[in-house]
Order: sequence, then structure tokens, then C-alpha cells
Amino acid sequence: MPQATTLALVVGLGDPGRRVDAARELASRLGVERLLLLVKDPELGILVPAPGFPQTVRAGPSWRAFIARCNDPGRHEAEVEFAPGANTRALVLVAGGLAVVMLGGPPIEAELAVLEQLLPLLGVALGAEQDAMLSRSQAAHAQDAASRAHALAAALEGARAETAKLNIELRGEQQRKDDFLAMLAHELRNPLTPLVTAIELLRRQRGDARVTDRHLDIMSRQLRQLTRLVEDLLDVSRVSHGRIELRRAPLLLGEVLGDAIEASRPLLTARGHSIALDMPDEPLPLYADSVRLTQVFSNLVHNAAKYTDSAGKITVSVTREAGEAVVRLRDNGVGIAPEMLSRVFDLFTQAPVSLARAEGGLGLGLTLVRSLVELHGGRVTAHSEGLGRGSTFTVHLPVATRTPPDTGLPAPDVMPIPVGDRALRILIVDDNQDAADSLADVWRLMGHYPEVAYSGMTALQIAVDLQPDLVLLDIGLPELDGYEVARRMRRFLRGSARFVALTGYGAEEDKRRSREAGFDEHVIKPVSPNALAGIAARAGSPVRAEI
Amino acid sequence: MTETYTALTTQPDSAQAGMELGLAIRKAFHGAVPDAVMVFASAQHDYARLLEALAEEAGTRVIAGSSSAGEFSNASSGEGHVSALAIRSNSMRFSLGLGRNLSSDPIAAARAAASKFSGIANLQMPYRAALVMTDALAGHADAVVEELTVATGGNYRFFGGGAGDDGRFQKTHVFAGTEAVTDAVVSLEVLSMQPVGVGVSHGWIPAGVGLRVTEVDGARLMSLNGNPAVDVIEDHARATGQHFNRADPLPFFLHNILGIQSQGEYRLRVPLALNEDGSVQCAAEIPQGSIVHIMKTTAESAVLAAEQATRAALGAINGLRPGAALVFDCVATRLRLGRAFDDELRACADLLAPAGFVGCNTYGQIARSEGQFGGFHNCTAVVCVFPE
Repeated sequence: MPQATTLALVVGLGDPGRRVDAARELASRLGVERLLLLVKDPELGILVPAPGFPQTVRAGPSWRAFIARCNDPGRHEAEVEFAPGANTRALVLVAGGLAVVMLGGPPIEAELAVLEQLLPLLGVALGAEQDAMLSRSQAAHAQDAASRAHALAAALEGARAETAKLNIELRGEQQRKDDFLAMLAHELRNPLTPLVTAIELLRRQRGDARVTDRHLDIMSRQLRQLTRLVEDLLDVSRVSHGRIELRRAPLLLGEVLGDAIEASRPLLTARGHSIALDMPDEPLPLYADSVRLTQVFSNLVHNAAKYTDSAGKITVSVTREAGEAVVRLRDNGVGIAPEMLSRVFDLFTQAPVSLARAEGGLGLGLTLVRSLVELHGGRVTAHSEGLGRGSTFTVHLPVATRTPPDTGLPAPDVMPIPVGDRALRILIVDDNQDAADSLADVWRLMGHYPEVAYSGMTALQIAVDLQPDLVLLDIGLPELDGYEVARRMRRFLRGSARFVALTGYGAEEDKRRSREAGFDEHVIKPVSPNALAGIAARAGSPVRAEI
Repeated sequence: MTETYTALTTQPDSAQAGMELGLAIRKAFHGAVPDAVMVFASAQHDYARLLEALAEEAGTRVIAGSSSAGEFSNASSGEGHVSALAIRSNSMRFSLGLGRNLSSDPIAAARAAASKFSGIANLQMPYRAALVMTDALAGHADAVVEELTVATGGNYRFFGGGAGDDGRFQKTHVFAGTEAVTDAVVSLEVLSMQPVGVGVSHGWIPAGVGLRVTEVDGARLMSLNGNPAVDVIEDHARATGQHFNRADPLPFFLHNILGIQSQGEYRLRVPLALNEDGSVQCAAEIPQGSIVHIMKTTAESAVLAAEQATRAALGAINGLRPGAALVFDCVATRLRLGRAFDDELRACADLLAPAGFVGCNTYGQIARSEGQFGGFHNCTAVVCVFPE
């Protein structure tokens, strides 16, 4: 029964697994060379190869043009270039969103009639299959997008948790900063009160040398305290910005520890503490910055002295372990609570112990200790059995390979104010009027002729008339900075003046910037009188006398 | 304070070029060392010699960048050059990352590139961005940007692109320190106290009806509407009165690219070459079953797009004054526009002035802002502005 066979083949076209074979057999049954199925794209309304058939039909332009015209239901017929260089008769039956393409032929009309009857039904099946295929593709993309969105959401959740944790830390840090600022205000006010009092008394009791000396001593002491506070703050700032540069040289650890203990001697004595230093027989050479390393150990000794009740015991023992010098500093003081141990080196962290307040300080010491030790390639740890059970701070430092030579040079002493051999015309430029005026006073005492300018523009005007031998320029001037003032001044002073940059920044890159701008010297504030004498000597006025 | 320095050298000797750039950077910073240098070099250069000399003279190995396909600045443009942006800032922190074996494991490469990012933990630097340059020929740029997005919890803006090689499409490199590496992705994390502005825009519009992607293999497009892709493109050329030569399709591809229809927008894909089987090789993957359009543009719309990207980047720095910028644009845009590409650069320069910029032509561009997932584009202008 021929029609029953055609029917079975058409049914076969609806089966994705049998579709291509059924199409080939049906083509033979219809008496055509080839049979293709196209389905209507639901979004674009064009005919594309049905699922299961090759998705790329390699035919000529006439084929593409013909298929594009086959949108309406019914029969469409044309000669097309399906294979390269050969025209073929093409008959297309369109119904129910499905197109059956018969190439070669003509088809047997009776078989075609069967096919035509079943076409709408087949169209529904293949259309659904096409929709499903596109849906699957879209679903795959949607699934992909959903999976990426899920991954991103999980990552966001992680980030949110991290942020929440950081927020808590931030609040803690904010609290510590608030506490620190309150403490800073207190610490700054302490020396200011006697300073203000002493100045007032000096003003009222002029002429009494003993009273004047006593008050000057008070002022000097309080200024030292203020200077130390400011130095600590600046050091912490430099460390946190990575702007501390070590001036390393060969030295012996024993000497550094000796200096550090001596620096803390006044506090140790005042509290009645005993301190023992236990050094190994062999010298322990280091390649380090002696000033900074002394600062490390003096801070640790100072800390131990502060946090230990009167008549306490502090021991400093030194050993050599695996190429490292290990310094253990123990005290029998108040100890450290377990929850504080991990934070003792953090900025703005200070144990809430009233004893510490008795000696003041900003709680920056241990932060500096850790930073400076790490800058030396070492590490520092803190240990305590708990509150009331003392503390041990252990510093590890790399040992140098050679022992430094003994220079035999005594420590430099305080120099009196030197007087210059030749009076220099000096231009001091600083927007801090007190700093500029006081520096001018010192230069006058040294026998020179200073002029002061508080801005770069004023300095340029004064320099024209003054024709200075020496120009001391603050770098951080408003409007025209020190670099620019130097550059402009150089143009009309034509090398006759010596330029000195006065700045709070002493890193190598700062010095290089000064050189680039034409400065002869880069000097870090504050400047001592003997440093000024050196500057004057290099400007052509060596020291003649001292006062 | 943020100091920036932009430079472009035409010096053909690589070591000399690196030395000149390094010296110029140091001079601009009054002898100080830059915190980071971003550098883009023509394939005519010996990258190792260039980077070594640059690092030596600039005094830093925090160098990130890539080979490129055209280099430019606000002052000049051309091929065979080296462009560089150096930054020195006390309000920014930079960190270099490198992910290798991009072609075989893009996820691991992206994770390695982001492994040194510390932005989320850095409370002082709340603005997070990263320059990302990938070896374009190793592929997977889309996946890299997506993985970087996941790895950073969507908290970073990314900008950059695919490394070029002067349009040869043979070997592309990314730069990390003094190393020029293939099959890799480099990242330069930029943490900042101030926002870093990223803008992106393309000037392409559909030139015809949508076409169903009926057969595709990754970035190899076989058929559209059931017909060979090359035939469809040829029909489009005929219908629009354009010349299309199968033996030399590049001139046509420069003016006709593909846009994947996606949520009311078009993700651009640039055709790079014709394969022997009639398939079209694109710069990045095209999804099976998607609808694409053949897209067109004009010189005016390219200029407009560059302006839009620049304005968007400037708008993202919250009214701060721009210090310097990076501009990335597709190699196809430069080749298509020819001399008119300078109009595009001039448009950027006018908007950014007095800030300068440098940049390069890339094989694909990267621009991802918060709220986006992907961020790999084709034929698109990307502008990144660093505030003063």
C-alpha cells in the first residue's frame, strides 16, 4: 500500500532520531533528488533548517532569495543554484510554519498530496521542536547567566561579610583614635601649662637672674617633652607612609643596649627599678641604624619601667640563635591581658592601666618598635602569662658578618653659638612667622644680616634689593612653593647666592628633588646653631668665635 | 596629591626608548620614583630591552601594560611607538598581578592576577579599580573579566583591553614588571582615596534586520539563518552597495561588525578573518541561537562615542580635576578611520584638557563598572581618568 508507506515516512519526519533517513527515503518515494525541511523562526519569521538537518545550507544566492520569498502558505517553485554551478528545480510546500523543500523532480503528485495533507500536523510538531531548541539555547544562556549571577552573589556576600568585619574593626579603630586624641590633648596641655606660667612670670619679674634661670629651665624641660611628643607623632607618620630611611652602619648590639638603658635611666631611677643586662661573651655585630635601634630598645625599657610597680625588676638577656641576635626584655610588671597580646603593637592601642598615665606618653612606642625592627629585617613578639604576671618582649635581629671597628670618637657635645668670620646677607623665607623670626634672631647673634619674608612673592621682591649671599627657603610655602621660588630667584641672582632648602622631609627622594630645583643644600628642621654655622661656613663665613 | 606624567616616544631603539621614558618620568617627578608605570608598545619593539631600560631609569618595577596595535597621546599618534603613563601619588596604592596559562585555564589565570588585590581590606582607599590587559590571541577575555568580577566580589572597576601586535594577529604580549609574557593576563590594582573614572561607549547601530545564529563554534561563526555566514555578509554588502572581497575581507570588516542583541543593547563582535570553509573568525565568542545584526558606523559617530566615553569617565570622578587619562580603542577603529582617528583623539583631548592622556589600540577592550558582570567589548572606546 504505497500511500501507507508515504504516511509512515512522514510520521518518521516527526521523529528527530529518524528524520534524516526518513527525508531521504521520502525523497525517493516522491521521485525527487533531495528533501529538506525548514521551519519558521518564531522571532524573525524566516525559514531556517529544521532541527536534525544540517544547519548550514551551502547553496547559491538564488536559493537564498527563493527561500526568502517562500513565506506564504502554498506551493512555491523555482530554478535555484543549490549545488555550485548547477541549477535545480525546487518545489516548496509551505503550511503550518513548516516548509518542505523538494529538489529535482517533479514529485509524484499522488504522494505529494499525502504529504500536503499531513504538513500542518508535522509543522506543529517541528515548530514545537524548533521552539524547544531555541528555548533550550536560551535556557542554557539563562542558566549560564544565573550561575554567574549566583557566583557573583556568593562573592558579594563574602565581600559584604568582610566589609561588616572591617566595619567593626573600623569602629574599634575610631574609638581608639578618639581615645588617642583625648590623650594627645591632655599630653600637649601638660607641658603647655608650666610654659605659659613661666612666660607670664618672666614677663612680671624681669631682671632677677635666678628666677629667670629657673623659669628658663622649666621652659626648656617642657619644650623637650613637647618635642618628644611631636617627634613620636612624626615618626609614626613617617613609618606609616614608609618614609623612614635607615642610616645603617656596622655597630655592636651591646653598645646600643647600653645607650638605650642609659636613655631610660631617669625613669628607672625615679621608680626604683633594678635592671640587669646579660650579654654573651662574644660581641654581636649588627648592620643597623644606631639611632633607630637605640630608640627601639629605649622604648621597650621605658615601657617596662612604666608598666611595672615601683622597685620592679627588669632583665635584658641577649643570646645568639641561628644567625640572629635575640634580645629578651622581661619585667615583673602589670603584664598583658590575653585579649590585648595580639594588639599591643597596633597604632593607638594602649593598655587601660592608670599607672601608665602617671608617666604620660601617647602609646605610640610599641608601634614604632615593631616598624623599626621590621625595617631592620627583624621581628618582635610580646608574651605574658596574664595580668599581674609580667611581660616579655623578644626582638630578633640579623647578625652582621663583620665586627665594626672601634672609632674611639666621643659623643658630640652641645655646641655654643658660633660667630661667623664675615657677615652674610641672608634671606630667610618661611610662612611660619615665628620660625622665620626666631631663626633670624639666631643669625643676628652669629653676626650676620638676616632679612625675613613670609611668602615666596615677597621673598622674590626682597631678593632683588638684598642680593643675598645665602637664601634659606622653606619648601612648603603656599602659592609659590620653595622649589619654584628657588628656580625664579636663581635667574636674577646668577649663582652668587647659596640656596638651602629647609624642610621637615629628609628622604632621599626629597633631597633629590631639592637638587633638581637648584638647591645647594637640603637641611631638615629643626636646625641647630652648629648646623647653621656649617651652612654659613659653606656660604663663605667660617666660624670666628663662639658665644 | 597625585602627580602624573604622560609620554609617547617614537624612538625605534627599544633600550633607548625605555631609557628616554624612564628619564623623562624621573625628571617630571623632580627625580622622585613613580609609584607605577603603565606602558604600551608596538610589536616592532624588543619588549624585554624596553622594559628593563624603563625600570632601570624610572626606578620602579611596578610596570603593567601590553603590546599594542597603534599608540597615541593627546599630542600625537601612530604606529611603532611606545606610550606611557606614570603616576606618583600619596592617595593611591598600586599592586601588580600576573596570571599565566590563560588559554588552558582562564579561571586560574584570572584568580592569580587578582591574588594580590587588597582593596576590600583597605579602609583608607575606598575606590578600587584595576588595569587589566590580556593576551588577546589566547582568548577567554570574557571569562577573565567575569572571574575577576567574582574574585573581587563586584567591588572593582576594570579597564584595559586585549594586547595587540600592530594588526599582525600573530603574537601578543602583556607586560608585568620587566617581563613580557604571552598566554597571560596582567593586572595593576589601583586603590585610591578618590574615584577613578571609567567611561565606555561605541558608535555602532544595526544596518539591517536580525539574523539567527544557526551554527557557531566559539568565536567561529558558521551560519546565519541557515546560510554560510560569508554568503550572508556578501549579500549584505551587495544590498548596501559595499565592496566585499573574500580574498581580502578586512576592509569590509572594518566598517561592518556584528552586534549580538542582548537586553536592548548590542554586544559588539569584530570579524577578524574568513576561514576556508566560509566561516567567519570573530574576536570573541558568539552564542548559538542568538540574534545578531550587521552593524555600521561613521567617523562622526566614532568621535561621538569617544566623547561620550570621556564625558562618562569625567562624570565618574565626582567633580575633581582630571590629572591624566588612559584611552583604549579598537585597532579596527583606527584602521577604519585612518587620519580621522586623530579627530577622535582630539575630541578626548579637548574634554580632558589640561590633563593629558596616553593610550593604544587593542584587540578588544575591557571596561567593567559596578553593577555589571561582563566587561569585554569590541570596537569600543574606553576611557579611564585619574583625578589630580
